[in-house]
Amino acid sequence: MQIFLRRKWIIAAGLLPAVLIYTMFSIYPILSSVYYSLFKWDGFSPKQWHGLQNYVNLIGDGVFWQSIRNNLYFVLFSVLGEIPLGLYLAIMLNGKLFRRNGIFRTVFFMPVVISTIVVSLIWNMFYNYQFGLVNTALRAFGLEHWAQNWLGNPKLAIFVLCIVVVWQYTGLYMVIFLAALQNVPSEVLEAAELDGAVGLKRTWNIVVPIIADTIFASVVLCISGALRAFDLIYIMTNGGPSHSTEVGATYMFTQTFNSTKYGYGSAISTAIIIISFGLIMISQFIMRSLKR
Amino acid sequence: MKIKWAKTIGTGMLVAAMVAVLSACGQSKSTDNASGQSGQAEKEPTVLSFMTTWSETDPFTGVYYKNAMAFQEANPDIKLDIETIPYNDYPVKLSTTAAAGKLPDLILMIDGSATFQQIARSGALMPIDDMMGHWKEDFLPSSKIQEYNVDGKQYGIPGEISYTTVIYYNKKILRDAGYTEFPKTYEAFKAMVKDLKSKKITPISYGNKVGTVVQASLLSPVNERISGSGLYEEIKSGKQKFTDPEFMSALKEVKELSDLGAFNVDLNSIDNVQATNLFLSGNSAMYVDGSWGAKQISKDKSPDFELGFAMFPEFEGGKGSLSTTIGSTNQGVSLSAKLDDAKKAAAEKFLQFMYSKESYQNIMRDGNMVPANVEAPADVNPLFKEMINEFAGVKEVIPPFNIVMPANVTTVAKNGLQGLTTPGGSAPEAVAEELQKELGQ
Repeated sequence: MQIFLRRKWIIAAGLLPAVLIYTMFSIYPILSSVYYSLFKWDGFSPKQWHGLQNYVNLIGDGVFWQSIRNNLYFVLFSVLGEIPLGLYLAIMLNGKLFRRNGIFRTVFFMPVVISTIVVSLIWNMFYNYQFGLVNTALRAFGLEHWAQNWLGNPKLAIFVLCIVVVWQYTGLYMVIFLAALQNVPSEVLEAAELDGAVGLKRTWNIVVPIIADTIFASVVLCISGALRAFDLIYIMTNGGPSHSTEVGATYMFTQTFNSTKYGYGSAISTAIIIISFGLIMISQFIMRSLKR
Repeated sequence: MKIKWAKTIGTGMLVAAMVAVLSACGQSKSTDNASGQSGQAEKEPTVLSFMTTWSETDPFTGVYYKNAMAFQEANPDIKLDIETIPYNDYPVKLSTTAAAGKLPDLILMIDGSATFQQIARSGALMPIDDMMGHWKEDFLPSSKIQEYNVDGKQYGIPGEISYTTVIYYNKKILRDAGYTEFPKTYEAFKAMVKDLKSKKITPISYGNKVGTVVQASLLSPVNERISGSGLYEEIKSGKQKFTDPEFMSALKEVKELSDLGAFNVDLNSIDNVQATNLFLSGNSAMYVDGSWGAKQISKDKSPDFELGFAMFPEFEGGKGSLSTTIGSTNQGVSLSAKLDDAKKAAAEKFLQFMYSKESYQNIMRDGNMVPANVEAPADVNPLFKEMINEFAGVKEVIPPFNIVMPANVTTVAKNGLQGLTTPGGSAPEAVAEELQKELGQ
């Protein structure tokens, strides 16, 4: 008992620095942001008590809801794009054909390593109206009327950005899945083979259930990543044209720092926390019921 | 149990040893410093921290950096501790450091915008009225430095004047299309745009990704030509509204130009450097941007490119005139309110040097207009001279929309104008209503 108690203290002491740092840089800013969201404040002059007015304005703010909708597109594309594609690539690379060839792993993982700024600039050039790769290719094939200003078309721009995100992060999930696949015991696979489960059947009925936990964890990662999306959009379109590619984080940033509405910006970030939390809870619930 | 204790003690000793080694390192360093200082000079230099966008290699601010370095050389007893922030990030950096109360000793104010005024009113900056005796009225007219004046107090001196609306045009393209002279009236200008479009030439290239370009170089001149110079003040004071006919008609003109196909399709997805390249590669007949655009153009254009300059044309029956242009004064340096006497004296020396006759001449030589009355040096860029001649008849310079209006309104205007110039985007009425709503907040 004594040893147990003492160990508890040692564990607590070991955790303390991490907890302190986490509180200082994560919990405290979140709480202070909730506090600021109750004020009308431009950052320079004294704060004015505003009560819940910022939240009332937020609910009536069409741009905010549009940015949340764009965030949901990101979540949808990420979960339905990155995860299946990553899984597919991982299974391919784990197969006999590619297993010994490390180069493919490197190729697919490359976009994850490249800095987002570089990714943004490369894709900006791809999508450029005059000389971009996409339009040049379309024109070369005689599909000139399909060529368009990809990032400037309010109806298309957000989906065009989704493609970039999927391209950028599929490799990450591929590596996670690859690691999980390599941990699938070969006895199980051999037994399955003896029972006549080969090909797709084996993958779907044996392999996927074994790595299900990894997949679920990846979905959570994926959702939170998509909700945090900022840098790529900030560089590629800056939320424009006319808010059409605005996501929660970019809207919060422009409202806070460009419009110097610190109170309103804090209200937006608080709302994003609540919405993200809700989404993660929903996804957890769905996955738990799937497991059963 | 015993073994465990031994382990703990062992770890403890290791940690203690490490701490001792680390602190010893720290100590030896500090003693080094002390001996170094006593060996140098008796007098320590006054260090002024300075936040700026100026950098040696930047074509727009390189000359300021060089002037500052010259100051440094002439005054070894003052040391500038320069922190360089990229131009596009500077406004955010400025407002956040000001909000945090962490402004350095010297702060570059790129322009006299609403954010600068907010910071000045918050008391974070030191007025320099007691230093203004160094600049005589006939050298630096007070009318030209008023953008750096808030509520009657001076907070800086601008280094240059820029016109935010200069129409750069490709003489050859216009000549081939049948225009030997640039249209003087807006109706004729619009007719030319239509004509160029029908000839499959992109009339104007804009790089409005950041969103301020169309505000400063299209909306502002159209507003001035229609309503004269007082419109923005009237809107700010509540005498007029964004939704009233005068401002609305300007928004409608912008929308009409966009619907005519006057702009490059991707004006809202490219920046002004890319737009300049479109123009210089012969893909558009005109390029509209501020007078600063001339630097990149004169640097990158091929020798046989025939460049023309024009002012924004006149509206028939409008209240504005060709003797007015849109412009702003830039590159002033403000002082932190927290400076002590020694630092203040050093900062005064710095300002005196940076805004002296010699410095202004360097700025001119680099292709800028200056607020001070100084003779142009003989070796000024000929292209720049040509541009100045085009603007010789200017009597009044009024600030653009994005300088006059508060930051939250310009953010709304950025998105509103992007919407107006996007096919299937917003309607002028909706944009005006958004603006009015934002101004009321």
